Amino acid sequence: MARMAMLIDLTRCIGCDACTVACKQENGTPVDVFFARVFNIEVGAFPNVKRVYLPVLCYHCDDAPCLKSCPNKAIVRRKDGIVLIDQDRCRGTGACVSACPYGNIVLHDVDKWYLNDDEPYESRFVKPRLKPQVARKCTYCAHRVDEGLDPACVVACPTTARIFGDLDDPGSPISTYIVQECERGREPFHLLEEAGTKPAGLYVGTMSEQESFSSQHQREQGGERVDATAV
Amino acid sequence: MQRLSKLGVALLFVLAFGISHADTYIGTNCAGCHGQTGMGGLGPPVASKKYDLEYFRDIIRQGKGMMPGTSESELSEEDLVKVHEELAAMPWNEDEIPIAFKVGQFLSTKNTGRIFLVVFGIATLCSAFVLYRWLKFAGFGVLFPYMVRFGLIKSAWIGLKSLIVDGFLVGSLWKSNKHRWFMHGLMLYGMCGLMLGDILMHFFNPTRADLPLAHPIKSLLVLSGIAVFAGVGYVMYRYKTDRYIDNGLTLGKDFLFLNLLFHTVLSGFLSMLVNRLGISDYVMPIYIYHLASVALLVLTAPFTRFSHAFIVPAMVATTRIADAIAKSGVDIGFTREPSPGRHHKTERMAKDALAKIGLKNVQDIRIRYYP
Repeated sequence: MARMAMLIDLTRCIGCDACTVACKQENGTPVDVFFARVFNIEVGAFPNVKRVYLPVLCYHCDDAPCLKSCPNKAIVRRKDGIVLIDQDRCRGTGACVSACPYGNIVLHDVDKWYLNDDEPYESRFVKPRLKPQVARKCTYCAHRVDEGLDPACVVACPTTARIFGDLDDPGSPISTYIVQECERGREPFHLLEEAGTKPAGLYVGTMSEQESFSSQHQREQGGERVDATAV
Repeated sequence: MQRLSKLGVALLFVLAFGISHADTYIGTNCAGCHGQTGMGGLGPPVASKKYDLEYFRDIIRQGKGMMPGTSESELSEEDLVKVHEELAAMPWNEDEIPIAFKVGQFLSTKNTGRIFLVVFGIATLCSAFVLYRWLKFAGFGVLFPYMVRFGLIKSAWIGLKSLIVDGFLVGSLWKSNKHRWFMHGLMLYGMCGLMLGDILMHFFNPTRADLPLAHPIKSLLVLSGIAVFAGVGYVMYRYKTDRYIDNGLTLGKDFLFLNLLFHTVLSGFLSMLVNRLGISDYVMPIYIYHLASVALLVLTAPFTRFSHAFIVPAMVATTRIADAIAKSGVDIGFTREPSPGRHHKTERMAKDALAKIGLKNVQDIRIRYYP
């Protein structure tokens, strides 16, 4: 049994939004519809300011609330754990939009497009694939996954901050990355765990957390602390 | 198994020939509840009871508990005295008291009412908790400050309109598929009818005496039951033909709800039928089965497909309010976010992520959506 998942290394994300653009290109989403987003978070006030980039996308939860709230059974969970909204079945009720604790489902009454209607890209490639007035969300690029490819956002990431693969396969890139990072003291975490949705989306923390662990680890081992700022 | 086959044969016989199994007044009227030998069924044993005639007359004319009153046009004074004598002459045979009655004597109208008060109380508390969790993680709490800025009355009006149009009238289904709306309506409005009928019974027929079919409350309950039964039948058919039914997560709970509902309605009709046909041996067991089905249906409601009756309207109403706030431009976060309507959730996620990477209790957070 496969369990497709994505891990995002926050230390590697540079907030370039290449994933956002790649997702829009791959899925041909209209204006104001973003499956992959990157939050540019400024923390604190001058002079103690820190910037954190937080990429988010559908976490394809094990206990997906969107799926449970859908009155039309338009949302299905595949055997590999990918949660999909069937556009033919969805009636645009809108319950899933609120049910998702992460706000990763989009439903608009009217679609706006970037290019003119008569552009071949819009009329032939994009619009026939996207039914209007239905709920939409990230599919983990299921059409690419079925072909053995990684999702578009993963391929586009210039810093390989996104690692995609099968959690149940110990040899997959995501499983080996998790083992490697755990050994370095960076435990992957989920967002809003208290919601009980058991998301497949994982994050690993920032370098500062890793450094503090390394320092603590060295102290415990009786070694000298390396002061990163002094280098 | 033998008792079931006996019941089947008796039902077929009665339905086919339209006759009852006894031709005395007791056999055709009292036996339905008190048993063919007067040793009890749904009602208590009455054989060889030396009732005072005045007391007996009062019970017959005015009814007692679930037992309906009988007017003089239905049973003359002469016949009443005859029935009184016949009952007194019937032999008492302890062995003939049905086990179901021994169990069921605890299920007096008052006790049943108490049990169901507890059942509904537990179900309501569980439902409230489930709904609270759904609203909490749907971000209702973090949306509230924005609702205040947008206008609480405006937000409440949008929510209420959504609860009626999207929830009670199932607007999205009406727009997209009238046939599905009708079939869904059979169950939704049928269930509403059953609940309304039960509430009306509480006020107008507190002893739960059997009412004639033409009585408005009885008609409402029967028609609602038929609607629910038809709706359940349709959904069961869809369970066999619709490839979407198994969504990979909730099939077991969906199936549990559907089966409990099916058993509840079927046993309700069956207990009414056997009672009217006077097949006294089966009245009490089927009635107890019906009560148990109702109790299970209600107790499991917050955790099965039944819960979508209150979760979906609440979620849709929250979506409508968030959309209205995004369109109003009352907050710059809602205006500038990539997919408007989820800024409150973004803030919550950002705080959670920051806490997990060691930036706890930070007050000054600003989210920019584009590079």
